[in-house]
Amino acid sequence: MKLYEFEGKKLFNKYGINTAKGWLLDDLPEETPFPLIVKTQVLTGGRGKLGGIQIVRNKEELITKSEKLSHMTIKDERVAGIYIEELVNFQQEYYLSIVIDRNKKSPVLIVSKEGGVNIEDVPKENILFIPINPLLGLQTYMIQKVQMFLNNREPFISQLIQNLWTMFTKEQAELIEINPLFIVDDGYVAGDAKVILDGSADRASDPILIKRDQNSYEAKCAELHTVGVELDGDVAIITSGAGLGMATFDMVSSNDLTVRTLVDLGGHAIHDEEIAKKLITQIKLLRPKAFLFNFYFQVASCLVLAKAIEEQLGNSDIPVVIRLKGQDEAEAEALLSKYENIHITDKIKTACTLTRNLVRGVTI
Amino acid sequence: MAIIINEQSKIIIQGITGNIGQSFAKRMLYYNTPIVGGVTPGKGGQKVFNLPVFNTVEDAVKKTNADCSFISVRPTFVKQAVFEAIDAGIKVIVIYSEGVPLHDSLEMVHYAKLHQVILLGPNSAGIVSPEKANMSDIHDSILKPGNIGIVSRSGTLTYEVIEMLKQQNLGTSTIVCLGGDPVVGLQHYDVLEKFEEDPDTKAIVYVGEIGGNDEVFSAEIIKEMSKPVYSFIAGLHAPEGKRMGHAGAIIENESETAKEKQKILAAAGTNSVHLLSDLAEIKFLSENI
Repeated sequence: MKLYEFEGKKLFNKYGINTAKGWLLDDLPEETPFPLIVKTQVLTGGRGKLGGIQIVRNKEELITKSEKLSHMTIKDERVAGIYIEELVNFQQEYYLSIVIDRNKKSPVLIVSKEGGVNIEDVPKENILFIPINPLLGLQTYMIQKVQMFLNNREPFISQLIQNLWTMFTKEQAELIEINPLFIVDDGYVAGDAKVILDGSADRASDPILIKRDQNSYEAKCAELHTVGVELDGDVAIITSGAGLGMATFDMVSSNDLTVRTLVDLGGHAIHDEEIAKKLITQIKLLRPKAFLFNFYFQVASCLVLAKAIEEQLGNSDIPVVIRLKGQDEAEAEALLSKYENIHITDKIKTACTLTRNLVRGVTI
Repeated sequence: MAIIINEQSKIIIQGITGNIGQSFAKRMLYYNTPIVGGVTPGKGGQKVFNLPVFNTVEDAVKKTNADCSFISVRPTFVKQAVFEAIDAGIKVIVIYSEGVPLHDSLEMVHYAKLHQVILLGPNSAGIVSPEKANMSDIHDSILKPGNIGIVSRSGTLTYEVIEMLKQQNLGTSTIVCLGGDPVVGLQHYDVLEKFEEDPDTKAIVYVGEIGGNDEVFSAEIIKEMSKPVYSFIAGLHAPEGKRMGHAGAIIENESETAKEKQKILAAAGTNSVHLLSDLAEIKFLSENI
């Protein structure tokens, strides 16, 4: 779960991490000293380079620029809000983050003196990486290492890193990144907040302050405990499992077909006909040119999904290819084979060729 | 022989009184997997299909000498279940539960390593040595003992590989499913080392997917192996930055793409195929029997 900068900074404040004074556009007080910095709220990175952050020097500029920014689209993402901050007078810009490194299976503390730029562009020798054993947590020697690396013994560095670690564990974060970290006369100010929290975890606070799009196709799939990925091609692929889904995706693509959506049924839809029906309804709204179901059940019965397919897609004008195997496969096949638009096979390869012919309008 | 589990294993199910726990217990008994009991706190003294239920893993270990545990409890209870199992002396753990918090996984993986416990998952379909012991969701009726070892993140892809092997009348020594989460215990390279030492395993099917850089480490092991490794990486056409069903299946940089992984494995000497269906064309074992 990604947070907007504004949400991330509210969490920073909760954990004693300093930020500049700031307001959402609607909450901006009448009297504010200029200059101010106007920032679009989007979940994607790199908004600064795309014109999503502007300095304003007076009220008129503030009104025109925030109006313009609020209608911007940044990397296909609509701006969700406008956040306005006081400008920070800084001496230096650092980089500071804690991220889960899946290969090391540890959180890693990352520090650099070169802040305000893309960390990927900073030479490795100018970056300090400290893996933190999750069973032990942050240790004093690590903080000392950072202070020596930065050649900055100010006590606020130590306090900041401790606060960051507390937030990381209490909020079950996957990533907290402060870039730039402004060094100012009497301490520091977090210039930006990039925060990703683990969606599966219980956490200390509810950080969502800006409404998310709950009507998107992917959000609707998640509501049904399935994982749907929306793309812009032709075929809707629905499989019993993510690995099989990716493999089917590859085979469909190698048949020169494109994919409209890839859906992993997960553990709920395969046992619950109502959920399966709702899921198919959502997929239909995407208007795919064909459905390709690929399922092989070890525990669930093929009949549950077959009944949902029958009701939602039987006798419709959309071609449906089904490769099914597992419990009750014969009964499921008998149920579905009476429909003209439904084609059944037990081979994945055949299923993909069939789908290609149907999308291309080749008669079978 | 087989690896990790066999007919001498003593298996318990943590969460045996739940729906999944009960259905697994039933199948394990029916197909003679060496299950010795189960654990559900507060339900000690009850029976599930005549298997004893204990309040704690410690009790179960004392009474039954259990050394393996299959865990199917609610995702937020998993961490405590794993710590309890490790502290009670369990040596092999399968976490079947899906949706376990990532911070919990980090702690479990490190704690298991500290105690030299083999941890599969979270979100693992399990492990099975056919006709010896089955701690997986793969139905015994589709399994056949033999000389191929399978290691995969995904359960569903594993079923497909089993089918393809069956077409060639081949069976498996052990099938290991690592789990689809970004942080899991055992990884491909750990399993490869074990297969190399196992006299029952003559060849290995390696199923990977996008995300992470496991293949870099696997390649180092494969270079030293005497047994043939056949590899398939799912997600060749997956778009960057999108989670493809598994929480761990997301491409964050170029080295995590299927293409790059294929290249790394092929360079290490594996027979690497592009599509799942290509595996069916391979004549496994023909070259060294």
